[in-house]
Amino acid sequence: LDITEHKQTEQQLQQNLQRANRLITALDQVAARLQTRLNADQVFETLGAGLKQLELTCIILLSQTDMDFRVQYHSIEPKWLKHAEKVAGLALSEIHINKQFPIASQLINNHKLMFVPDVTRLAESFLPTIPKSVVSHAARKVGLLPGTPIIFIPMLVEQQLIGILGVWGKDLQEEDLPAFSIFASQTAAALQVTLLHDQIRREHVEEQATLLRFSQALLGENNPDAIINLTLLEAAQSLKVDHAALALVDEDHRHYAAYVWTKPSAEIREQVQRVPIDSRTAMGQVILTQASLALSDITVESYGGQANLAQMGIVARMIVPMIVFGESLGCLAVNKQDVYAWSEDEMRLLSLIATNAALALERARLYQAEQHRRTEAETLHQITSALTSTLELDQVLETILSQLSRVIPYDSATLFLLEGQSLRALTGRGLPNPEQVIGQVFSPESLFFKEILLTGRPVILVDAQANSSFQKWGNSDYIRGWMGIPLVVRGDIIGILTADSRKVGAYSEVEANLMQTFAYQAALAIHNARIYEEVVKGQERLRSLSQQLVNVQETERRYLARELHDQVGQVLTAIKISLQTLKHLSKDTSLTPYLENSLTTTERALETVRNLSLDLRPSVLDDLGLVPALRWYLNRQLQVFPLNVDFTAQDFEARFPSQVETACFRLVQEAFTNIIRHAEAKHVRLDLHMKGEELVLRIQDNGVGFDVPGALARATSGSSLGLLSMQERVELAGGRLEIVSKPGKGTKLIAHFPLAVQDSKPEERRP
Amino acid sequence: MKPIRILLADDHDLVRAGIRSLLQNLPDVEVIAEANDGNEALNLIEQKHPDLVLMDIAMPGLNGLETTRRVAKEFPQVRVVILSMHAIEEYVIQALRAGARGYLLKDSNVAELELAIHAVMRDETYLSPAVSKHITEYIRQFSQPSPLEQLTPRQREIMQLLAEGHSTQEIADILHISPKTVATHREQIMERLNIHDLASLVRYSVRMGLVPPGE
Repeated sequence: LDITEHKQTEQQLQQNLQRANRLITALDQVAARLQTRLNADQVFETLGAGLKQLELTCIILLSQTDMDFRVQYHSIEPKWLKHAEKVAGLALSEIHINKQFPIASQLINNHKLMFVPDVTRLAESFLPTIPKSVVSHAARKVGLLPGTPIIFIPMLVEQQLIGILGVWGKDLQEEDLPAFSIFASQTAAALQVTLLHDQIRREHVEEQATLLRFSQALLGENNPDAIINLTLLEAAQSLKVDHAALALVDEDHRHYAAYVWTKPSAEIREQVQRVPIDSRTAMGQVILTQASLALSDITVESYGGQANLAQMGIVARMIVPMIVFGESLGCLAVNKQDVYAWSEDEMRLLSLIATNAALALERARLYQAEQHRRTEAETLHQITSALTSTLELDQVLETILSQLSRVIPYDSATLFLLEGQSLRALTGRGLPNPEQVIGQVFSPESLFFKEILLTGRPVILVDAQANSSFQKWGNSDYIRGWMGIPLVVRGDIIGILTADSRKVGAYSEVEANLMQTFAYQAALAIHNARIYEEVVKGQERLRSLSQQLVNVQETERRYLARELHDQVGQVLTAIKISLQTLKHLSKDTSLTPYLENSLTTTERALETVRNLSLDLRPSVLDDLGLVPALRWYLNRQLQVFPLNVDFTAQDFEARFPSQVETACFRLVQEAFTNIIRHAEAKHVRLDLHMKGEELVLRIQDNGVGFDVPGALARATSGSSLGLLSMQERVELAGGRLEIVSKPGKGTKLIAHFPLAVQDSKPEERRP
Repeated sequence: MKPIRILLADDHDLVRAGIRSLLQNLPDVEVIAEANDGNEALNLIEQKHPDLVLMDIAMPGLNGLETTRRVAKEFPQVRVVILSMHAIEEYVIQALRAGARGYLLKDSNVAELELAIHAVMRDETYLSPAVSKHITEYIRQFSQPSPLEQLTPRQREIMQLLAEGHSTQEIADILHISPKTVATHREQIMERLNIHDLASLVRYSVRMGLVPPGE
């Protein structure tokens, strides 16, 4: 059950990742097409068509300057829209949103993304003057069924909210928000480019074309270094400078690293690392304030690090922030070696380059994070598959250590399991003297083990050799970095997994977490293997007991049948003969009635003994074999029951292992009991033949039949044991039983006994 | 007239004694030896050359059926009559197969015993009425049909056509049935006859006279 649950979670994870990946790819394709559109209508149409392929509908609201957003575009089916407008009594073009709407203020003021799980509720608040029922009816018409999620994404260009993109569709998820927000910004950028394009076409056609090429070049790029490269070259080229720099904020958000390009080099070099972000440097200031900075002569401005720049002959600088979703990613700078007054157009151009670069970098980061997650999930999946591929405990333990190396690097690793009060090292890898460790019992009282067992938490040693409490077994001087992780199943610690490294400080919290995740899986696999082992052992025990039971029963029956027949029967026979002799010799006729009477009584007793003996176990089965025994049995049944029986056998003389003969005979007895009791059959066909190495016994009747699964289920629940006992008998003799039947279709029992390998113990057979 | 010399083989002393006393009442019969089991019986037969052996089936060591088989082979002039507790046809059949000349129940009366001994000495076969009245019916009931008889007339027809070298399609055309039906029949024929290839089927058909050889 645990394995199944794990698999399901994992499958879910995989599916989500695949889905996210498909979405990002699809959005990328749309964005790529957007970049080549030169007017706003084309941008809108491309957008609508692209989203439609993802079964999404969109609406774009744009605002000029007054923050009153009106519908500019939508991809709603015209037919539906007409319906909806008619129902609502309101044209879509009349709808406008401003910050007065409580629900929209977050979006407009704080540029916050909105995920609304149920669109109906939202529509109601947008249209307060219209009755709710009318709104939901209208919403339905445009595919906004109750329960359909909708997202609203601010369309930002250089921190300016130019519009709102609304997307809805039944498959949308909250996790899709980051992908869509980048997409919205790409759309906004594309829109802005087209607008700008119109505006500055007259003067800057060439730059504009370059910019377009740039955004396109960036689009397919997922490598941050390549994006930085492209950006710096583009900035230098577009703004005609020989020197450009790009700063990227570190993960700690407190430092940045700067990348610099200088003509004529083709290479970008990382110039400085871990520069504190503060207003002492110009770049730090821009990152902090998110405001562009245009310096015509740095010698008169007072920023730190200027001396360095002056040395390079830099005089004029322009720096623009790189912002994604309101957060500074870094900044982009161009430098000139003369005093220069930067124009507004130049600043806008650099800003556009920076915006494009920021989006591309964020996208690359998202992509890489996603890739990383995916790799992790895949590794986890592979590990789980490997761990669950076997249920043999020894193999599971080996697999655990071999798979552990995929999670964390180690020089040696050991797996201990709790056995009562002690810990036994069951397996290890990379140990220099495994014989001193594997199979040995260790005290759970030793310091670190005790801590792990008590707290259920990992223990990490930066340097084991420096720790006097670290116990050394088996030549462990090489161990520096050390980590011990509890193996936990359902809250119970069942053992400890340790990893050793030659490197001081090899393991930290991060490795411990990874190993702990792994250890959960490992512990579960061990647990399952143990359960499996127990089940297998239990089954074997049960089987062996049942077998013994059957053997004992048959031996007893055979013994009783023989005793009755040979001892009691012979004595009665002797008595009968004596009585006959007596009757023959006696001249006294007055004795005759008494003798006759005695003879009859003796005969009756003899008959009873004979029948009892035959019922217990027919001597024919032991003396003559299966086929004669079956013929005798069938003949005996035919004396009593009106049945038509066909019996065919390949070989009348053949003898089979005693267990098989007994199982076949008892199977036929049981089958006939059933046929006579339940089947209402007229005709029974019995066939015994060899098929390859198998003895096949087939019993077929033309009776009423029954529902096999139902009968087996009833049998398992204990209400009718006939079928099960037949099956068990056959299986105990090493065979298998097929039961084929349907109501009204008769019943067919086919027992197969493999004869080549008969490893089961033969029953005792008297000579 | 020389008396008929009889060997009694039975592991039950009481029964042996009873039968001996029955036989003593017969004028032309003499019990020359008694054996406790099959091996002893064989030794005594070799030494004393009896005319007839009255033999029990269930005996320790070598049982009566096996002993009968050995006697029939090694001392064909010695006649064996099975004297059994079992009124079971299977034992009768097995006893006759082993070479016994008669089958009697132990509790038969003296008249029947006498009848049996004389019949067997005349080289007739004697079966106790308790078993003989059912045995023909029993044999008839379970006589194995020959494999060929297990086929339906249609299957025999198809088998002949197959052996004559016709393809499945040709047979289907000749018999106005579908090739699929022919294939099914063909499979069943092979299964029932325990034959797994066409060449063997042809050989079998020739042997059974379904097709003349050399065709």
